[in-house]
Amino acid sequence: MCDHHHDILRSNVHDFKKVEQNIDRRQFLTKTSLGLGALALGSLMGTDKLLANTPPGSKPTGPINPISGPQGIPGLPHFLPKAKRVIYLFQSGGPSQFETYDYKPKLTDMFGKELPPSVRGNQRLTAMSASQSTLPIAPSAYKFKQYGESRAWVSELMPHTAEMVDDICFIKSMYTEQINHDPAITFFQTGHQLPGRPSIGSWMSYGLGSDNQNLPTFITLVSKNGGGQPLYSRLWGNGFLPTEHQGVQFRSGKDPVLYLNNPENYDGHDRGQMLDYLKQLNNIQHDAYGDPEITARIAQYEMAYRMQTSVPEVTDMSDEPEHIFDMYGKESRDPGTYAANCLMARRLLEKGVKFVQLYQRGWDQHISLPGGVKNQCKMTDQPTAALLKDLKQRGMLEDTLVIWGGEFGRTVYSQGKLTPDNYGRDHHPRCFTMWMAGAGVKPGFTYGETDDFSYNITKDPVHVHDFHATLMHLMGIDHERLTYKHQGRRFRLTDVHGHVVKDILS
Amino acid sequence: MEESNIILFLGRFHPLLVHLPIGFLLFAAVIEITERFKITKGLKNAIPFSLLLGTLSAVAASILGLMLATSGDYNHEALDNHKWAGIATTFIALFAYLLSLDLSIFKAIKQKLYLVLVTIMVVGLSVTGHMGGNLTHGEDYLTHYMPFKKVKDDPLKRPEVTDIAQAEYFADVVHPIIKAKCFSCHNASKMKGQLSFESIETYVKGGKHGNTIVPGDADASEIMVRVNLDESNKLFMPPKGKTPLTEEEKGILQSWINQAKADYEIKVVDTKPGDETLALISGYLKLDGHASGDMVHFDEVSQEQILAIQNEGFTIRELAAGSYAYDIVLPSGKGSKGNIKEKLEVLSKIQDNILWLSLENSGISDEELKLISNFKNVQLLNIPKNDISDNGIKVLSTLKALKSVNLYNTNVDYEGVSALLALPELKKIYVWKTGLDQKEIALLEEKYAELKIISGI
Repeated sequence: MCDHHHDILRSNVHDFKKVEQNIDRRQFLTKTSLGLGALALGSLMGTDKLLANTPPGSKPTGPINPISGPQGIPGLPHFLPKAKRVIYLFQSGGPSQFETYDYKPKLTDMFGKELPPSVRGNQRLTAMSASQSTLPIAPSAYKFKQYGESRAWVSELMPHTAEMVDDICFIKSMYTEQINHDPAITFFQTGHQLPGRPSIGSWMSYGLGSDNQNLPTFITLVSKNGGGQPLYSRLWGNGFLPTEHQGVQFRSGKDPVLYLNNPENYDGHDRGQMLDYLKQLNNIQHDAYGDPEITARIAQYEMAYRMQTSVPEVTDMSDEPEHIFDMYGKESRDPGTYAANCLMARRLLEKGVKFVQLYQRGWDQHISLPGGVKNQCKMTDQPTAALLKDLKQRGMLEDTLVIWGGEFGRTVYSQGKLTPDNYGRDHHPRCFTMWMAGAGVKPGFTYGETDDFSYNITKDPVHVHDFHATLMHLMGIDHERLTYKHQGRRFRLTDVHGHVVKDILS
Repeated sequence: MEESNIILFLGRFHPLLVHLPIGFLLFAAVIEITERFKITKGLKNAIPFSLLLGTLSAVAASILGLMLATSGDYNHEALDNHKWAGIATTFIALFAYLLSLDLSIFKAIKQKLYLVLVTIMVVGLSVTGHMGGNLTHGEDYLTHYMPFKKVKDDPLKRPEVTDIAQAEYFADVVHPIIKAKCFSCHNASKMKGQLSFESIETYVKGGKHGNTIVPGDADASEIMVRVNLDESNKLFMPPKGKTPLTEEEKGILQSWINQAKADYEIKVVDTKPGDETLALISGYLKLDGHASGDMVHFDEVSQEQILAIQNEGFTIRELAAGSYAYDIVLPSGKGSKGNIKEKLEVLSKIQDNILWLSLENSGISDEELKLISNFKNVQLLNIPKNDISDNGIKVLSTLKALKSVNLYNTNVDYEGVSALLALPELKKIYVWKTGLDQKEIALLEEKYAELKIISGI
């Protein structure tokens, strides 16, 4: 074997440390060229002693918290975190900023007028509206009002969230590079538009490890009744990170995690014994090949075993009082709805789950937007606000970060025919609104501005990478320093970009 | 492209050519022995020829060596020794060759001198060769992997720093720089300019000018003056041929002298370093730098203590790597009236290290709050769903670092909460499902404008 072959594996990646140590032994034996003599010497002196020195250039590992579940990597968090948990309410499809949070009063007088080319600039359009002969301006069909001490503008479709504006930090100047759903969502969830990168939650799990022993670090909830664009498991996938960091999806219905229940006619009393034996077998395999995925598999089996009790416990909502269900709305009694998932998210966060990724589909209103958006808001406004209130009154908003937002915004011009009470809007990546609330972000604050058409950003743009950098910062991670070496290079969630938006930090 | 240099080009053949005289001359010496002890027969005639080839190649090697020396890349002193040893060996070889020829003019002295000369020649070869090897590969090259080597203790040596929060400014940062760049001439045995960097005492004492390091004034410190001179200046340190200090290293020394007042005990973080200094130091230590401002560090907590705490059912998480500041959670329901006191007593062993503490539904009562009142660095305190009352809460007024306290679903009331209001850092109190009503909350919030009291919504 040539030396070059070994060099490739030299890395700072925590998971390869063990593999590297094995290779050190191999190198030692090869290089001494003493064959059996060296082997005998090696065993006489004890392998542990010989390998006790960490390879040059590698840093000794710091104190590690020996808890079961993923452990996080040494050296993290880089600094004191503000947030301990994250709940990301992903609004898939691209919610229109015009009918929700970005108030554009001047558009009312411009109803039906052509969007000035100077505003549009060189922005590409999707194939859906590129062939339109006109781009008529469509003002919001819904009225806006100011709320709270922060006097934030919120549309009449969001009466419940409007009550919470003093706890919310709006970012009106988000922008992305992608104009279609799949690449845009993939970009938002993994930091790259092409599939294959680890999702935000996976990075968190990999970097920070688990805070609880009985539930996964990263859980995904996909709401039913959404319709529209599909979602795919790679959005909460681990990419090239070890498998135990992938998001575990909790489904709607009576079986939240598939295959967790014991099969029929099996009481499960010797399950623990079986898993112990399986672990021994897996360890033999691991000794032979040193593949970190085997360790991941062992961890997964053990987690699944503990989840046999912890999941039914956390998903059984019968201990929630009436007034809590009322707060989240009557749909919260119907498992799998957005409302029920918001309530579930709170319960998971209470149990120490670090990252909950919740998806609500159905925000993609190319046609009949007024009706569609109204419906979506009706489904999500009350539960979203209820989640904020519930976290707040329990004191959990103190160390929980809540995020609301979609993958892009929508156009000021109508896609298809514009009438006073009906229009559609196409995808618009150049500006849209997101909000965060809770740990570490300024409450009752609005950051960034868009022009009168909400077509371009006029102040303080925030790129998707910046959002990721800020999110990681709140969790105590320097986004430039959480890396994973894969296929010969180091990867980050923020690739080679991203700036922490310091102005929104409290 | 660098310009070509024929002298250096040829000079670099020196390490290659030196092996010829070594081989030839040793070969002659070996035959001399084997012939005398009758191990071989008839090789005696080859000795003069071998010595001649050895001498000629030694002359060539010496000339190439002198060419290589013009590069100035080598330690002057060691180079000098090697040079003269090489030249001497060459002359001895020449003389030995002449004697071996059985020339009549040497007849009188040959018997006595010849063997002595050959012996000296072999010794000279070995010594010269070794010195040459040291020059190329470094002084400890040969002995680096020597078994049973006695490791020389450096009294100032410290274990490798893994986290900047724990780094000592002098011992972990400054001394290693000096050690790498200055120590070879300024140590207890060499002491050039009467300066030694062997111990803190000799650091303080300084060299013959005395003002080597002037705390708080880098410009007046001889060490900084010297390293900052122009490289062509005779007084520039380290002298010609040695590796100068990098800009980063100079920056670190300067800030140690100025900002840290050349303190030998202080930790880096305690000097409140700016972002720039911090980046320099973490870069030097090959640590990933830390965002300043968010840094804390407390006394070390052992792995055994952590395990003991975990065994009590607590989840313990270090808030920032190397800070020994912890977030401690007792999962809801894990504690009970019967065992919570015991658990907290284990926890209190690291009471100053706890920044975030969560004891939801843990069975604590007013009694246990007395223990918690000693956790003086706690910033976030979560004690909801517990049977605690005003009397218990009052003792928490010792927690000066407290920023947020969660009392949701407890029996506390107006009086207890009032006792906490004067805490300097306190920003939020969560009082849903306690004795406080909206009127009382409004009253308290009016008094303390900075404070938010959050109830049910």
